[in-house]
Amino acid sequence: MSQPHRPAVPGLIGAEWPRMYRVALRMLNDTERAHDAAQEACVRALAGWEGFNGSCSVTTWLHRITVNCATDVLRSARRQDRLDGALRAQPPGTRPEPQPSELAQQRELADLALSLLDQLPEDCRLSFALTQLDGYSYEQAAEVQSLPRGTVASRVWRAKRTLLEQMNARTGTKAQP
Amino acid sequence: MTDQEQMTRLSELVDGELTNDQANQLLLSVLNDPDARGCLKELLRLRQMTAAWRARKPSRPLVVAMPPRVKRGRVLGRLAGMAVAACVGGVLVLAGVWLGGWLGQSPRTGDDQRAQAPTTAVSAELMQQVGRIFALHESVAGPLAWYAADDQDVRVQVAPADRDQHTPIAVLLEVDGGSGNPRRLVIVCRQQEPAVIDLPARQADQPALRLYLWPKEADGHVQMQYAIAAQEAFGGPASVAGQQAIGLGQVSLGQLALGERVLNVEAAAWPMRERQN
Repeated sequence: MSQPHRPAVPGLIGAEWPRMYRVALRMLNDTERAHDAAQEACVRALAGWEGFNGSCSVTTWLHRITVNCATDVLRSARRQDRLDGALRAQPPGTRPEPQPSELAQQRELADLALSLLDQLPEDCRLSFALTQLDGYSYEQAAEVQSLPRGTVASRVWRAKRTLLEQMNARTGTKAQP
Repeated sequence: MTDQEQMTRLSELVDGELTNDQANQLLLSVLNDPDARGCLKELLRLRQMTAAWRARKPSRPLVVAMPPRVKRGRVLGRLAGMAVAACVGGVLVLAGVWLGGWLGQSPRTGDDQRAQAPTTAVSAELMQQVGRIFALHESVAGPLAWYAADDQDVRVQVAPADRDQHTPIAVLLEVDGGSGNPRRLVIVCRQQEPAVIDLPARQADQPALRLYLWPKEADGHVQMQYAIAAQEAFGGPASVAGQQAIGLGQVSLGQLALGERVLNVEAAAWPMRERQN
C-alpha cells in the first residue's frame, strides 16, 4: 500500500505548536480551552494538508486554522455560559507565570500592559497582539492581516504609544513617547 | 525622517525587525537625542514586559487523538471531501480490524493465568500487524514519537522535526482488574526516548492512566524503565514503577491498588528493528 510521503507538515506543526497555543490562549484566556483549540487545529491541519494550495505561507495557514478553532471553542463556551446563566470565573493561570527573578514592579507593569490591551483601537490591537504576544514577525503579521508590512509597523507603533501613555498615566510617570 | 517615522523605526528596532546596518544607523541618530533615547528605553521596557507571553509554551505535549470507533462517524463527517480523511480513516479502521484479535480477545481466567505464566502474548502475525499499523500511521502523520491504541482510541504524538528517530519498540500492555474486562493497549515508542502517555478512563473498572515508558533494547529483550499511575473517581491515585527486561512473553510489571481493587499490569515488548510490512 503506497501512501503519499508528506513529512513537512508534522514537523511544521511541531514547530508552530507553541505559537498556535499562544494564539488560542490569547483569544480564549483559558489554558485548558487553549490546549483543546490548538490540538483541534493540529488535527484539522493534518487532515487538510492535502488541500492546502500554497496561496499563503504555511505559518499563516496554521494561524487561520487556529483562529477558526479558537473561535469555535469560544462560541461553544459562550453557549455553555448562557446555559449556565453566569459567566465563568477566570481560572487561575491564564496569564503567563511570572519569572521568579522578575521584580514585583515589573510584574505589575506587565499585568497592567496586558490589562490595557482591550482598550487599544481595534486596528492596532491585532497587529500588536500578533507581533508582541504571539511572536509573529511583521512580515508574517502583514500576511495574516492582508496588509502591507509598513501598515503593520505603523499600527504596532501606535499601539505601543497608546499603551505606554496609559501605563504612564496610571503609574504617574512621565509619558516618554 | 520625521519624528513619527523615527519612532516607528525605533519600534521596529526593538522588535528585531531591522537589519544590523539599519539598526546601527538608527542608534547613531538616537544617541544624541535625549527624547528619542527616552522613547527607546520605554519601548524596550514594553518589549520586556511581553517577553513572558512570547516564551509561553503549552504545558501538555501535542497529542493528536483520533477516536476510531466511538466518534468515527463525526470525525469522518468533518473530514469529508478531504483526501486524507479516507487515508486516516482507513488506517484507523484497519487498526481496529488488525488488532481486534488481540485487543478484543477473551480474557484469560485466573487459572489460565497461573497455568500459562509467563504467557506468550506475541505471535509473529501480531508483530507484523503492529508494524504495519505503525508504518501506516507514520505515512499519514509523519514520524511519530509514540503511538498508543486500545479498542476505542488511537493516540499519536508527532516526533520533533529536529530529532533523530530511534528504533521503534512495541509494547503490549494489559491492565486487568479481574473483572473479566482487561484494558489492552498497543503502544509503540522509541528506543531510549521516554514517552509520557495519558489515557482517559474508559469504564468504571478502567481508570485513567498515565504511562511513563523508557525502553532500551538489550540482548534481544527490551529493558524497560517504567512508571504507571492510575486515577479513578473514587480511588487512587496509585502507581507502580520499576525496571525490568521484557520479551515476547507477558510479564508482570506490578500491581496498582485502587480502593479495594487491585489491578494487575502485564506487558510484552519487542524492538521493531525491521518493519513488518
